Amino acid sequence: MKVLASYNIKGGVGKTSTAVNLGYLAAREGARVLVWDLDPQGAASFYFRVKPKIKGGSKRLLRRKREILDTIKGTDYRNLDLLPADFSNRNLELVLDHGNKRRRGLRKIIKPLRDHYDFLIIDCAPSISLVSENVFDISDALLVPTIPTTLSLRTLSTLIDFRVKHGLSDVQLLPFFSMVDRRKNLHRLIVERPPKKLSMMLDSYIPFASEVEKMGVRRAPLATYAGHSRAAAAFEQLWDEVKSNLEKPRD
Amino acid sequence: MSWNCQFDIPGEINLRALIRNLQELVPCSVESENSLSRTFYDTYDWRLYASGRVMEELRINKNTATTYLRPLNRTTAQACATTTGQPIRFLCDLPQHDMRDRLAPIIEMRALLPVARMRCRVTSLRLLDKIEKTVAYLDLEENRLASASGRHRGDIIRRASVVPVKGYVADARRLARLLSENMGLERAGSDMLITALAAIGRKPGDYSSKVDVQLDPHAHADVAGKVVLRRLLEIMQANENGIRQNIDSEFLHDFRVAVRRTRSALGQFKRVFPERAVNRYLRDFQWLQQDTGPARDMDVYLLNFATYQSLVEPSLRPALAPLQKFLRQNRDTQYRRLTRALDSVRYNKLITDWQAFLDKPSPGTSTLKNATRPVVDVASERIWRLFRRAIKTGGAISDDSPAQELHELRKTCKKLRYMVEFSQSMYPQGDIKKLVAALKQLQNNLGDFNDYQVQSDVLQQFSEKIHARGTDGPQTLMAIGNLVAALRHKRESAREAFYSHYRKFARPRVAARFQRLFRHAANGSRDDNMQ
Repeated sequence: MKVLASYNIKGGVGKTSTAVNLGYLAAREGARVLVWDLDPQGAASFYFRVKPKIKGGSKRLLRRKREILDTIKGTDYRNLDLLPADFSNRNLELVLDHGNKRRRGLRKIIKPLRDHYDFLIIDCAPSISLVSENVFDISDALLVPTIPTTLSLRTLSTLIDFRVKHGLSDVQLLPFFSMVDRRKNLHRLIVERPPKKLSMMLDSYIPFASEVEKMGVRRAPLATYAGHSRAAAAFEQLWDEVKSNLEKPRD
Repeated sequence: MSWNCQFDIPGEINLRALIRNLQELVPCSVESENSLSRTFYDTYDWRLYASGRVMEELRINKNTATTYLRPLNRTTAQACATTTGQPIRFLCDLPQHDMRDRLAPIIEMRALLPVARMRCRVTSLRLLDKIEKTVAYLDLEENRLASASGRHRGDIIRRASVVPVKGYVADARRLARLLSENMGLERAGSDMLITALAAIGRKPGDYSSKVDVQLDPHAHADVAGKVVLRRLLEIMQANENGIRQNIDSEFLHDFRVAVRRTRSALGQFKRVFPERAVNRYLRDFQWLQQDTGPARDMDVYLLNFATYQSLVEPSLRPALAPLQKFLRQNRDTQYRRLTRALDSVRYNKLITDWQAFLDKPSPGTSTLKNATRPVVDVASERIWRLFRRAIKTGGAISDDSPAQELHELRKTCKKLRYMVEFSQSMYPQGDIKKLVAALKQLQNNLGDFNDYQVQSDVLQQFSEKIHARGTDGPQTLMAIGNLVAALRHKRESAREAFYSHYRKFARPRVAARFQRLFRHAANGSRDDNMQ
């Protein structure tokens, strides 16, 4: 099972739409996919029409062995399941913060999933915290949607430094531009010539498009209602690029 | 889901009307309507069925198919894989998802063969909740059996399958209840696979390489012997086609095991059949065994290739490629030779004569000492004698013994195992299982020792042949040298482990069981041996 986390320190950059759309594309290819909605706001759960509620809250989920399997809900798509959000996810920090393995708390939790899924895609809450470190620990790659603005690039740079400083280089960093508005000069400039430090930036980028925003109204992945749109094609290209990066041997 | 959620749809029910009725009762929408072809796969020896699994491929068009693996009588897939183009034959044709991992220990090297084909129209419905979330699926299927050539035939089999969605099992149960109580559908009696096979006159498990014959202990040895030998001939014939078509390595393997067992049975049932006939068939089956040997050897080397690679230093692994190429070429040549042997006059005459010999009714009286004795006596006598021989040979083996002595013991153990297996129906099953298990461990050790010995010698010869062709570099010579050294090392370890395996086999409990089951008859009293 490969673990991917859709992550950014900033909010509103397209994390949820990345997790939901890539999850859908992977499942459509026949892989068994679980999307884990770790954001207490529960946007991914909303998109999949699943109640953002877990019996016993995140505490029970993290404390009981195999609880995770009973918490999973099927979505409207075969092969694609969801681990719903819960408002108690906001306190995840406190649940994880005990013992000497506080940075590896999620590792044990996801163990039972390994036999059941080919991909686990985590939709993270915007922040950098103990929860994020736990997510880094279990992930094979971080998908980092980044809006092409100066401040967003600065945040990405912070993440790169954090990863090096905390010895988390096992996790592959896969940042890509998201919500790209080609009408804006700055967006065009940054996408065409990203700063040298960001050489790992993927080639694919997601355009700013109203179809993506409509996911909230349709409560469905983009490809199910606007399969021929430019944005849908962009997600497909992104998924192909992510897959080929996952297959690359790492030093 | 632990209940059967498939229903039969009787011929008089119109599908459209059924959907309309359902929509009046619960919110549901039609997800898709597809025409597709459904092919069930299994290995020739039904390994999937034996493990309680069903593999089916749903092909929408020439290029797109999805293959599902599910438990028998269940509708929820354990794994699925989307494949394009060519149908799946071996594990390596599957994409790298966990379907391959699940199948690997079950089917191993065997090819997946289509066992039944159907043309299928599927209407998929979604059962929805208040916010239009899918909480269960209902697949309404109309299946029409297709013959191997793809032409349609047979009746239409109509099924409704409830497929639960994780976390919403209660809704699936509600839907199933609705179908049975409100719509009057009956639960399907058997899995679609079984229904499809029955319609084409097949039964799962119709081939096995096991000599699972039921012998009457009181039957004359010559009559019972022919029952065993006929079953072995059946196995040989069942595998002939697979060898000719070169489907996978196990057809030849099963064929050769049947030949070896035939030779062993002929040799062991002494003074049961006329000596002249026995000698003739022993000679001919030995020829067949030898003629099919080189092809099997190549199969074995190729099946072991991944292990060979793991035995050499990682830097040298790529240098083994010329060896693999050599083995593949050699295998092709040997298989061609093998097909020629199967087409030869000698082989065809052997099989025809052998069949006639086995079909000839036994005379009832005979001048041969053992022909008309009860088979249980003759079998017990032989088994007891072989067991004592094994103990004697094994007990005499020491660190100074030549490899030949271990080889002799291996042969004796093989004969013993075959005799026990032929006769198993005449003795308590539990006892036989325990004896076979004890024997198997020792046989594995002796087999390993022998294989490592032979393989290291033969690979060394191959290395010289490859070198003589001049297609390799010094790296390949080094890699094979490395491999030969590793195999010799393993041979030594197997030799060291021999004593503990032998002690386990020769321990008093096993010996007492052999004695209790087989010795009485050997001494003339037989009654307590029978079940």
